[in-house]
Amino acid sequence: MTLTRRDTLLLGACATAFVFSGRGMAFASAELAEEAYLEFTGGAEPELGRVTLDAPEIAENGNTVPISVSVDSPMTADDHVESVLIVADGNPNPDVATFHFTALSGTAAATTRMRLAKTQNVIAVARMSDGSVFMDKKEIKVTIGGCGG
Amino acid sequence: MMFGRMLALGAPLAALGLLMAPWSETRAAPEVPLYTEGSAAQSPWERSIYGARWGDRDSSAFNTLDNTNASPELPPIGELRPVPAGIAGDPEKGKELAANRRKGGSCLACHVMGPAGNADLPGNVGPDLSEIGTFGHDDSYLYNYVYDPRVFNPETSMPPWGAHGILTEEEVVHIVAFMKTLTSPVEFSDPRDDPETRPVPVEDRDGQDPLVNPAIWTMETALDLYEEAGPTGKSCASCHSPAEEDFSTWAASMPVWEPRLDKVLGVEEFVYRHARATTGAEWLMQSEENLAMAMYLRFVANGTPIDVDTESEGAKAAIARAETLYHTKLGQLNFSCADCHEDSKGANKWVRGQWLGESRGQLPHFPVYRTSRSEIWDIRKRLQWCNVAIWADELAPDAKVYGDLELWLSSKNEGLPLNAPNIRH
Ligand code: HEC
Ligand code: HEC
Ligand code: HEC
Repeated sequence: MTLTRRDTLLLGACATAFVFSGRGMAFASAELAEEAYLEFTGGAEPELGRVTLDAPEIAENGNTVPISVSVDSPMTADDHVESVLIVADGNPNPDVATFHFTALSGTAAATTRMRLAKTQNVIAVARMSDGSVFMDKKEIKVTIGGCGG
Repeated sequence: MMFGRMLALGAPLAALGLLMAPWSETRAAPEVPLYTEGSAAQSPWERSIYGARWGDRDSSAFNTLDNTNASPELPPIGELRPVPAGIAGDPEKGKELAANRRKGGSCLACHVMGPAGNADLPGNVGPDLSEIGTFGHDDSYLYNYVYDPRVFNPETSMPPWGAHGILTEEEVVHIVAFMKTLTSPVEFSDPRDDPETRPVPVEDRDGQDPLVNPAIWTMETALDLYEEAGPTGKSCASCHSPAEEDFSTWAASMPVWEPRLDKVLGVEEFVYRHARATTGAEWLMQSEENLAMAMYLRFVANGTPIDVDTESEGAKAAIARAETLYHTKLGQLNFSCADCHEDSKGANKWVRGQWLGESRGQLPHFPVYRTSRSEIWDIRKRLQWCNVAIWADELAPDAKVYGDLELWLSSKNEGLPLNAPNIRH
């Protein structure tokens, strides 16, 4: 398996910027996750609503848990979604991905896959062109294997 | 999607392969060249592939697939052991032990058991024991059921925790003390924890989408290998058209009884023995090259219904052996394959948070990328793991018994289209 070729192709295929910055191997806490999204919102506490996070109720541990996010927005020049941040509060690093949009995007929807180490909350925060911020939150339960693996 | 483009690169080779085919003078297909000496896998087999925690466990005092007389004998029905005197049962310790996954997965693998393990994703292969304290069982019954349930039910799938040395007498006493405190139905903090209502997993990922399944990238290696000359100066492409032309259905007819080897030959062992005999390459089973080429040969046959030969004398005998083995108890945890994968036993139930499949449906998608380990596993490695996980020493992947089981599994999966590679937990 050639990692370089794979990485290139993966990046070419999705219009997503993956951010896995190395913040050390300690598990992120709810506080770290909150810190990460408050940095994104400029300190404003996002309101619940307009953002819909779609994720499996029970997931495997591993690096391929599919999640989708969509934001209810007219996506016009004056009123559109600028970016969506996804954070997970139980992974070594809470940042999962940031998606950027413009009015030309048409709809504000994106799909990605994430790594899940244990049962945790996944939070999607959307920042609108007028600066308002919204969120959705889902607890994804990570399954437990049978034979003590 | 992207893979289609990669395959197109192989097309110009088609004509070349046909011209150079060495058997073009004769009409009858020649015997397939096979190197029939020695082992097709690492030899001697080193039991380290699963890491120290699993691979170093020595379970040789218990049955393996090629030594089914190692485990201690079944106890006579009704022969109860006295409850050890002088050990005070501690319900708190028992509660912890019941959920301790390092003790063979322990009780929560199969039982809902009140508050043990915070009732986090318990299994339901066995009955809900949350009110067992009210069932009127005496200490002797509870102690003996855990120590060795076979004195009550020789057919049980529950492990003989004491008799096979998984739990000590003292630990069993603690668990009995805990069970006696269980008098009311469990309250699940989350409906997903209740195995009776937990949603059954639906496998609808597209295993051949490179964005979903990292194993797809391994096939790039196979495309290169197909054209790479081995020590004899020949490559696969010297004698064959591109695999998607020559072998567009072949893998669905594998494994096959091979008289020259006196065993069932699967795709992975074929790749080693055929390459060794033709190109001279030595792609041992489970090597990166073997995995890649075997995966590719299955991939090009995708969609072809599994159709293996079950009629030859050798195949019939292999299937009969596998049928017996499938029901033979193995390992320190004392499970047969059937205990977990037959509908009347564990299949279509939860073992802790894992849904147990039955044999039909378990084969066409191999090899798989395992998300929990970030590794690609061929079918033989899966069979090895279904030994290791029940504390039974695995055999080398080219062991004759795995061939028997693979043929038996294929016969159970007859008619299902190949769908390789795929992705599993
Ligand atoms: C592999 C699955 C499995 C595991 C693990 C398991 N059991 Fe069982 N158990 C069963 C099944 C199935 C039964 C139903 C009766 C039978 O088949 O013997 C059962 C029955 C029982 C019973 C008898 C209940 C009654 O009312 O007669 C007790 C007690 C019990 N189990 C305790 C335990 C304890 C304690 C543990 C952990 C040390 C445990 N079991 C682990 C499968 C399992
Ligand atoms: C020196 C020529 C030669 C080379 C090199 C060669 N093969 Fe073959 N292969 C044969 C012959 C001869 C047969 C039997 C006739 C047939 O089925 O085409 C065969 C058959 C096969 C079959 C079908 C087996 C069956 O049971 O019918 C597969 C699959 C195959 N080869 C794959 C490969 C792969 C992969 C390579 C590269 C590692 C390879 N071959 C290299 C000569 C060769
Ligand atoms: C303690 C229970 C247990 C025993 C015993 C067991 N397995 Fe498994 N097996 C599992 C689990 C758990 C999985 C993964 C979930 C699933 O697919 O069923 C699995 C998966 C498999 C798979 C792959 C399924 C797929 O769809 O990818 C095969 C094939 C298989 N087992 C065969 C066997 C054979 C053959 C034996 C006997 C040698 C055996 N198992 C014994 C628990 C068991």
